[in-house]
Amino acid sequence: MGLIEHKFSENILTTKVDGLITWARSSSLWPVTFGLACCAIEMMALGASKYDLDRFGIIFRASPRQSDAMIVAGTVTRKMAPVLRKVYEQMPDPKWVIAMGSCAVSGGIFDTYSTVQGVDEVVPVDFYIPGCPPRPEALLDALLKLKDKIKEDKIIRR
Amino acid sequence: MEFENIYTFLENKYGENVNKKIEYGCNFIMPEVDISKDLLNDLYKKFDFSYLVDIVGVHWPKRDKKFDVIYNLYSIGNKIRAFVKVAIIDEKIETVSDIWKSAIFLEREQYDLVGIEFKGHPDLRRILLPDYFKKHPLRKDFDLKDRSWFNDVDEQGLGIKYSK
Repeated sequence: MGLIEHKFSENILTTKVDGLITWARSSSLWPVTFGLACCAIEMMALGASKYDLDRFGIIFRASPRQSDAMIVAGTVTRKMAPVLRKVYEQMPDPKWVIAMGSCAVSGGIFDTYSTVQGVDEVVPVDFYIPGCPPRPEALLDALLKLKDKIKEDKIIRR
Repeated sequence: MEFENIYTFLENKYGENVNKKIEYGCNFIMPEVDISKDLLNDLYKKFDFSYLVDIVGVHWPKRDKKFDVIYNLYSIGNKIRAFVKVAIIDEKIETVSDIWKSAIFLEREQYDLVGIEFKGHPDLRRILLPDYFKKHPLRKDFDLKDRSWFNDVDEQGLGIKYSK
């Protein structure tokens, strides 16, 4: 910063583009609600006042167009899989996916004719949370880890 | 009006073609398949069974009559519930959707899951499973872990391939 130090007035800060943009992204992480089964109840508990996701800037959006993360909470059936993929593709880049609960991770106990054996068959997954259902703390941990991951992103790659 | 009155009427009309039993406090009427539609029509017209609660299909793979169709009827006026239990050899039976309109959906459900074909049904197609599903999952010989149909159709053209 040597060249531009003290060249501007006092209310101007200098920083890296990567730092600024990843800070903005990780501080306003808006997940699209994709509650499919009982895991959604834990996800809602995390959003409600006891765990209070709002304090991290995480606000559930009902539209994929306004979201940059997707929490797949519950059992994904074969009938639901194309819908899930479409919602994922409607989200603007950059986007991240959290597979919540053993059903979304691997199909869980539903080794059956109708259940997709893990949501990673349909969309790329960043974080897997085991549990049936996972505690809200586990999802909170994944979201905080996701924030750390976003902060390590490089915006200008080449 | 008691269940006995109803059954006496049915016995006089259909004779040996109909049986009954009372088990666990439930009234069962077991007619032969040939007269089952007439019997259901009588129950609807003469005994005020205006409410068709449910239709259930059961698969018995080791029996000669491989399927049971059970009509759960309720008479709101007489406060009587009756189960009409029909055993059929092949998976075909007359529809009752012309007697009770609610049977249209109930029969579609049984067609979808058990594979019973209701002759004369106005719109017999799957209701819960997708149209491109092949078999009938509530049959006892259905392979519960068969996911080979996953890749048969790409109904939204998204190119998803399933591997597990």
